Amino acid sequence: MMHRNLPSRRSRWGLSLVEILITMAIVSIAALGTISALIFAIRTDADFKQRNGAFRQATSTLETTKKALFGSLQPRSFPVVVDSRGNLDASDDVMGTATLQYFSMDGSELASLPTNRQLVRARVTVTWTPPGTNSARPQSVFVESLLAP
Amino acid sequence: MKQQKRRGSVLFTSLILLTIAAVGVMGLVRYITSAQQAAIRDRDYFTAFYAAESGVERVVDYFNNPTNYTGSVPDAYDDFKSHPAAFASSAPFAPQSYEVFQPYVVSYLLDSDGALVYGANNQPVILSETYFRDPNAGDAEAVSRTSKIPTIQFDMDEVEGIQFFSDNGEEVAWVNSILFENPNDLADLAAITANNRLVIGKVTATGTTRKGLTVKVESIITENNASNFRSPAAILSEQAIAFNGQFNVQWGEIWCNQVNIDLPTNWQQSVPKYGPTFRLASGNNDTEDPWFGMRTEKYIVNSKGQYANGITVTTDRRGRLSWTYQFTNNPPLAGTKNFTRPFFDPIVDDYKNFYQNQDLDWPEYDWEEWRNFVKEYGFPYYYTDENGNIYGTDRDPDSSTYGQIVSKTYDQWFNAQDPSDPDYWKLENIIVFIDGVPQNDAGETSTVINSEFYPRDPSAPGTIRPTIQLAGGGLHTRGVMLISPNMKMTGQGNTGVTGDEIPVEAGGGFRMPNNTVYADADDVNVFHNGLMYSWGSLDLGGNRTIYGSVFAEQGYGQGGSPSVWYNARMRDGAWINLNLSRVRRDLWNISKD
Repeated sequence: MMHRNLPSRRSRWGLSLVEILITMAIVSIAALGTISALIFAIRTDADFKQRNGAFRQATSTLETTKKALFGSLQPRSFPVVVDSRGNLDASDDVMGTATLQYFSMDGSELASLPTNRQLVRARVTVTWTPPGTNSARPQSVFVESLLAP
Repeated sequence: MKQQKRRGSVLFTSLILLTIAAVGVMGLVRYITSAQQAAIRDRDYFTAFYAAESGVERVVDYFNNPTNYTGSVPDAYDDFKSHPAAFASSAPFAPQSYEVFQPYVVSYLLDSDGALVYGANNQPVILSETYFRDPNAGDAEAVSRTSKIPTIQFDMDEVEGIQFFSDNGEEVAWVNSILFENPNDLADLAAITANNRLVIGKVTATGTTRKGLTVKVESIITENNASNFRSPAAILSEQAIAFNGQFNVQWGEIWCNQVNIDLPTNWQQSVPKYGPTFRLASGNNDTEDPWFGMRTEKYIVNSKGQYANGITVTTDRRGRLSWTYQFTNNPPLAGTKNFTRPFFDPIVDDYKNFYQNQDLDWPEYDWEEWRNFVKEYGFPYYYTDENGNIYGTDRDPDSSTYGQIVSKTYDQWFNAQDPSDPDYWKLENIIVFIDGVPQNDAGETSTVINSEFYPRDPSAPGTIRPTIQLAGGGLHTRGVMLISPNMKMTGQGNTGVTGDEIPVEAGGGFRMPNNTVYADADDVNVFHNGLMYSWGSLDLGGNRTIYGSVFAEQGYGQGGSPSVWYNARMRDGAWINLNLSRVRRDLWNISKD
């Protein structure tokens, strides 16, 4: 009586080796694809947010330049915080450099702003290096506008 | 049977979970992608926006450097010749500077060297014009603020040169179009004109990116006339204007706010219209100055404390006019415009020029804005201690004077120059700023400016206002003197001067009050050419001649016999050239095209 209530040897195993292998293969392939997509999306998103943060810095610097009075408009480079999310959380911040350059209308770079109020091209470039890998290449964005000081 | 149904359930469950996870990841990826696309659109938008902005900047440059755009200068407005006849002066000379008097035009288009720019019909190009108070119209002020620049569709061939490239040479954006229009029909200009800014025109510019996004920027262009330095009268005070000395006023008005204008004994001789020979009582009406006036929000009283209250005019048997000034113990009716006009105006055959009990349009000055302006542009900046000593700063032309008491011989530290120097008239306008006493929050004073001690706004409660005393010979400056403390001047103000001579630049020389034009600058002299403003009181000892305007918030002292010749261009601030941009951008609107 007792033996009749026990499952057979075959039924106790539940899954065949083939089932497990196929399952593991499918799950592995699908999981790898999903995780890869997730990692790619997150990494791309981080790069993108850094690029956005850098662009915000560039436009902000250009706006400051356009509003500034004549005496404080000389070309310069200065450190900026590339803030990915644009919030007070510093964990995602990256240090970068903003460079303000002036070019004459024919494209030659100017060492200083002309004192005779000539029309110039004002370009702000923000460069930064993404964190995390030693081999990361520096990134940059720029914004440019004519400026009649 | 149950056991058999369980077969493959792990695989099935795994696939279900994986599907759910994949859907979640896909949703996340989709979200991230859409956020990225939005960010890309934003960047594209700003790129197009700055291209459009470049079109507006291009127009600003057009006005700052018109000669750079050969062939682009629009036709001049050529009917201004009709205006001078309507504003004919009874005075035997031009009452204002040559540039202003001739066509009553405030603003011409000038090139970078300050020379007039001529349009196609060989007339000076006019940016905007202002008609000053018309003496023929009595009390009325005929002011017209209109742009005289016609519509300009900027040449696309020229505009196509405004392109923007990435570092690898790829074109990312360009200016698509620029249109300049006369904005007289725009309803939203009321706010601009109400703030006394002259509207030059409206610019509509578009910028386009390589992705095809186009942004349109519309911007109102106004004259950058340094309106913060405007002054509506020759002598102003929020307090008393008393004249124990001879305070001569010409070509402008006297304004007083808080208290009465006190007329001195023999006031008819003490407040001449112009020149020392003027005598009202003599009936020498042909030398009347139609631009002279006294205005107060209170009353005009004589030395006996009586109120000016009308005039009685009689005609004798020979038809000659005579008049009697009426002074009463009671003031004119309150709440009504009670004017008393003791001066005879031969133009309108009426009496005019004394106005009391009326509201005045005082200029709005901002000390903090002035301070920032002076520091930003590097004009001479000084401050004082509680004893009235004046200290230099790193903005001082001589930086070694920082934190040190500077000389009180103002020729040295006001960047002044001997008027006999042939180049005196080429002196640039400067702003001399004398700030107050460095104080901390507890009101304690210091002789240095730092993070704790700094000069306050002169209107702040508890501000210490010492009196600075300046002595010596002539001070010859052009521009603006902004003084926080009281200022007392002693000694002879002008050197080498005979009479009240005033340096008004005229064609071929320098015009005098008697209409004589001198070719050489050393024949003329003036103490200060511009605006002299003090938050405290001014005591202008010596016979100082000022061309421009004097404003003392706390009133005037009793020293000397200063003479002020009003520069009518100061009415809207257009008188000063500080090497600023000639025009500035005002209201604007942004939209996707």
